[in-house]
Amino acid sequence: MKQRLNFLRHGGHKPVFMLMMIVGLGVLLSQPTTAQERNKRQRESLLTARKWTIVNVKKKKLTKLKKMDGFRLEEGNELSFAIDHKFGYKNNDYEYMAGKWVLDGNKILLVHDARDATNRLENTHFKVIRLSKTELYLKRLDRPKGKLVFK
Amino acid sequence: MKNIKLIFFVVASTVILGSCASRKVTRLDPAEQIDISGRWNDTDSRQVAEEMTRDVLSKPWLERFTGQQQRPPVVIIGVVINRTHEHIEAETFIKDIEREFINSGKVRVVENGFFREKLREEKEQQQVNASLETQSRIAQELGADFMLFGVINSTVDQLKKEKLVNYKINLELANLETTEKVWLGDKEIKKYIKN
Repeated sequence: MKQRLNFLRHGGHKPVFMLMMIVGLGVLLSQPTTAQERNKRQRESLLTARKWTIVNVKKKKLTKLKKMDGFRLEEGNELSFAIDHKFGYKNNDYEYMAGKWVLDGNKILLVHDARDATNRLENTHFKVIRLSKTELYLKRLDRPKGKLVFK
Repeated sequence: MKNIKLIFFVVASTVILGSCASRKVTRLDPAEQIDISGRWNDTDSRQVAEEMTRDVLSKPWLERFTGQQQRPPVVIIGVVINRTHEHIEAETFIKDIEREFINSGKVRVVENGFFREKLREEKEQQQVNASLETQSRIAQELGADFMLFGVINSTVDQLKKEKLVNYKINLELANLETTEKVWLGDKEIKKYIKN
């Protein structure tokens, strides 16, 4: 008993307390990351599970060839995300877009070749408004902005 | 004697009843992903076709050629060598790529060596047997600008009941005149199989 009191009096509990604090904080901080990762993996598996077809284009500008720089988005266009983070887009004019996709929170970044003879990569940003097994609702964040419903 | 007859009857009836066992056949959506053995299947083939098609048709070689020549390029399909441990029919995804080339109207496709010979035989026959007005003319074939060919490789890592298979498909498009490679497409498919 005397020894224990001496141990506490001389501050021997401090390293133990510090260690517990560090472990506790580590556990606390790692929890949300695991949950976030799980959520991200879940969303990615939903995205890659099927080929998505546009069923509704909410803004007319997206369907205009001139406004969209030669690559318009229309009903019937197909978008697919692969497990190896490659994506493919085919529109009704048989114009193709291919490259890599990155899911960052609720935003999807599509990295693809520029639509001319130059060797340049360009990005297109989308916001995921709704994602389920049967529906993907995206908002194009680049100009012209607009919402697209995929089934 | 009676016993032999009985044994024969039992064996015969077992065979007959066994052959009459019910078989269930279900029609499925061809796009549905079903893996049974873990070997190369229709899903892999479709994935390769889709990825290669959109890649080859979205790269700058097409825009460059069309811009310079003011006409769509003509492509001939060469060989796709299978260097995997399995039998893989490359024609299944090659046909999908050809179809998209033709449907897009951006690339023209000519027949490969085997079918070209068949067409030439038919054309020769026409020179003798068909009327002058309906004969196909000789030496009017479309010369190809590019040739598409490739190779499929695989690596297998196996221990007891676990197996890891990695398929790598490489397709190349080369200019026939200059031998310049204008496009290289690759697709990797990794499978973890646990028995």
